[in-house]
Amino acid sequence: MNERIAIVGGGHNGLVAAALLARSGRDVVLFEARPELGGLASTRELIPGHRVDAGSNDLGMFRRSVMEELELGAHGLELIEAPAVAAVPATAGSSAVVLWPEVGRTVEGLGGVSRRDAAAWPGFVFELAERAAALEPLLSRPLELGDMGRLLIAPEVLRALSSSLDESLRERFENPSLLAGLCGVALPATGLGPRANGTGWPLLFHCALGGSDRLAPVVRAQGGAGALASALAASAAASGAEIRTGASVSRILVDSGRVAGVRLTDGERIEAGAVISTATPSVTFLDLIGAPLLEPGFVRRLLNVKYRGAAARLALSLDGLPAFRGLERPALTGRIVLAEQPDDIERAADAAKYRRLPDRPWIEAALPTALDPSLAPAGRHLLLATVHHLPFDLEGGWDAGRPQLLARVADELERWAPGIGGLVREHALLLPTDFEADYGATAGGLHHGEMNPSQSLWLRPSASAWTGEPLPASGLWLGGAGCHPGGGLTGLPGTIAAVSLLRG
Amino acid sequence: MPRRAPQGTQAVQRALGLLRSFTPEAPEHRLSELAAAHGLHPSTTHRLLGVLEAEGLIGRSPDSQAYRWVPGAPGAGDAEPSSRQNGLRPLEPLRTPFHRRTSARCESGAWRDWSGYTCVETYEPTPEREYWAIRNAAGLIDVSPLFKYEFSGADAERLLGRLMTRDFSKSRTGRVMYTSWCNEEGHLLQDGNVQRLARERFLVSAAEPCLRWFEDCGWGMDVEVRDVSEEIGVLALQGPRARAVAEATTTGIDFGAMRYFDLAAGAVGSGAGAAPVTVTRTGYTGDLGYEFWVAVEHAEVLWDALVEAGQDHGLLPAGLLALDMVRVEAGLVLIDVDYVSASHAEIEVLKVTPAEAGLGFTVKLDKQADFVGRRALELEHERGPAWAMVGLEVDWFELERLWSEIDLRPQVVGQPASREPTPVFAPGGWQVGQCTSRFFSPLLKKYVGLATVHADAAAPGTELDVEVAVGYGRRRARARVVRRPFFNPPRKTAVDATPGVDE
Repeated sequence: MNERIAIVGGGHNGLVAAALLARSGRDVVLFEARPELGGLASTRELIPGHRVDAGSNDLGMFRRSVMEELELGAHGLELIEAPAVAAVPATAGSSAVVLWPEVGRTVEGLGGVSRRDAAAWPGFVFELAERAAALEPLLSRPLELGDMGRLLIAPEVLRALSSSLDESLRERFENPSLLAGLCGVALPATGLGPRANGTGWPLLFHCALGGSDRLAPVVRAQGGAGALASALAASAAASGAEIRTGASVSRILVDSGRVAGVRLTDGERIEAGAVISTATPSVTFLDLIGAPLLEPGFVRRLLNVKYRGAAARLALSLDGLPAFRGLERPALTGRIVLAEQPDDIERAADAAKYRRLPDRPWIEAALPTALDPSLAPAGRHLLLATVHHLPFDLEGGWDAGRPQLLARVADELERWAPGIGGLVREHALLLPTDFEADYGATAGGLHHGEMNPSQSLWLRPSASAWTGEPLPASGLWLGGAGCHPGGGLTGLPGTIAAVSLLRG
Repeated sequence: MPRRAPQGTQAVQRALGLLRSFTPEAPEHRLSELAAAHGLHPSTTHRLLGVLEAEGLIGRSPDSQAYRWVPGAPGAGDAEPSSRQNGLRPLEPLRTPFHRRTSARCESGAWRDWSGYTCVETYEPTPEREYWAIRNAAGLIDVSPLFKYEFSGADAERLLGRLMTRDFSKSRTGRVMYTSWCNEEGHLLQDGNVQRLARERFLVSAAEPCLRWFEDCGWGMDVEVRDVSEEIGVLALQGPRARAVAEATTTGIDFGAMRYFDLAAGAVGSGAGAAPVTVTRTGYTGDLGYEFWVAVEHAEVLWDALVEAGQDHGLLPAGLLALDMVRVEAGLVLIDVDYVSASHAEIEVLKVTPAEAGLGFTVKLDKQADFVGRRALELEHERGPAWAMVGLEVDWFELERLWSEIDLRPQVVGQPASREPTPVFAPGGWQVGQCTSRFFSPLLKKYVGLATVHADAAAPGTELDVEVAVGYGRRRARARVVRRPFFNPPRKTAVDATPGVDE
């Protein structure tokens, strides 16, 4: 049998798998369709002279142990931890709130907004950390049978992950800005509004992988998220892995139930005894394996995977730092949540549900140049505005929707940071359809399958099975965000795929 | 200028106009509103509504302030026919495209639901004459409620190869193939006919909805599957005189050259009103016969032509009871009667493979295409099916013996086929299966039935006991396993037979 391992996709998960397997002495070749590596965590020059992160740029959930094992520091990765976790600016009718990694600092700030919330904060962080710690072991390795019992004997964890975020946050807090800020941390890239059941799960997930002793901090890579991909690629190459960019896989070849290799769009055929696919389950099975080779029941399950949670990314090159009301400069280094209350997010989700644009989109903004000025030419700042809870299949189509979306986002930004319109010099926009076309994110879903409890843990595909059933070809492994534990810049699906493959 | 009816008929016309205002969608109207809408004087309106009410054609609302629609009243406005909606049962009974014709002929009032459609069970109070028409002359059966799916595209043949147990690489344009289709475990989902209309166009007929299954199996292929059930009406013209009737009505088809399971396109009627039809030499009667597939807008033209030409040949419209009798004689299994589709079998043991349902001949394990259920059926082929579909025969003397215990002669003659499953036993012993369809065949003068039994009790000549109801009692009648079909006349498949000579 051919000993070579072919990896489909050069996103961070594919790269992690390649680096780990090469380090274990395996013969690895990785194929990335795009010219640059990193996938949804890549950095592109979308605006001339600017290093724009196309998708995720927060390394707060990335495994430190993997970084160390792969010696990413030696391969050029430099981390910057943001002083702030999240901030909600003030508006005419609402107050500003800043969440810091340090509990005391957050309490101090909240005191001026709500004495009750300030008093409740330490307990909340402690409890969240406790629940996250219970969950963490389940997320960082292949699930085992005993894990199910572990979860079942922790009813408070079960409740937290299955209930609605809005509801569980309101058990403790009253200030709308604080509630909105927490929802804004948890709900990016889901299609669910905070009132939906199961929205407790993303917050727990976030905290479990973000360092369970405190609220998930924002960590950025010097030079943009693409620096992580570069370091991973360098580490993999140093161990002997072959990394091929601009090489698009069109087929995973299966011969009598076993993978035989891959074929590229240019017709080249590469033999391999094992294939790790980091594409979404739909792309992997329906397109790369090919639906006609699958059992119809399996096809139906694939068609039923929810990919909700499309987003648009607007990058703005600004003449200076925008003035978000009520926020000092350190507060601008983390996530900036532009929603006055959880219902702003809920309404956006409602609109998306009916394939419409929200009247007032909620925005997750970031000012990466506030931490790393090298990302933009001198004197310029980069604002990344991610508009979440958008429909992929917008009624009337995105050609018509694009100017509407831009106008509404501009109005919102102006409302939160008066005068920002005057600072804008250039802009670039990635729509949900771009995320699918450029990165193979099925239906624009950034997590390769929505992170809700019905598609998580045992219910999400694992590296080698899906709800107990083996994958339809032996030698095939899944290593992308579509499998356990899920989306986000964690490196875990790739790690688990590599570990599972090595175990055999 | 509006055409004026002569005076005497004006009142009738006005009354009918008023009656048509009452529909299920607009069931209730006030007098003043109707008078205004129809341009009538209120007193005239009152008089006319009074007659309609006295005749039971409309009713009064509970507070008697308004007049109400009466369900089923002749002449009242029809419900907007609701769609079957991808196989879901409609809220209102549906009418086939032949309904106006079939209902005009239905003297018995015996209707039956078939996949949401209201169909004639027997036109006359008993099905006997309709049964004999099929066997001795010609019967005309409305089988429009069949589900019909059109497959078109470059991969249409490929999808059928994947779905079906038959080998569609061997299908030819102008031929019909009878096939089974299975789920992943090799369990039978349905059986049906597939017409090859062109190289890349097929029509699949099925007893039950299966659009989504077809779509799921065809995902990623260049093929469109369209539910055309409600666009096509189907009439089965069956019996020894079928060819004569077909030839008298249809142009463009050489019926003498048409082989069993051939299909051909022609036209019925003449001039602008001619109805294009597809004719298949198929049927569910085991007799000489054809099925006419017609666009619903031409349905009545087809019916009228066949009925008119059929007058010279003893043709009768036949209902579902007669059809059920002849199909048992023909040994043809019926889904959800003789086998349970794996798509809605509640428990595992109810599921069967095609071989176990007597359809083993439709499974082509030597075909190239990897079809759904293949691996399971290959395993079954190695070890042999566990069950078998057999014919059972009980002779008259055995029935006489049982009925004489209660001093009656056998009460079986003239009864329609029973679909009540009854147990089948090894003689004097354990249950070995069940008999799912049976009746006393007037033609064969025998009590015959279709039964599923353990494979080791399936050899022709094996004696088994079948439970029969004798009065209120249950007795075991000695039966013999025989080959199906019970009745198989040469005319069914004869190629150049002069119509009706081999009786």
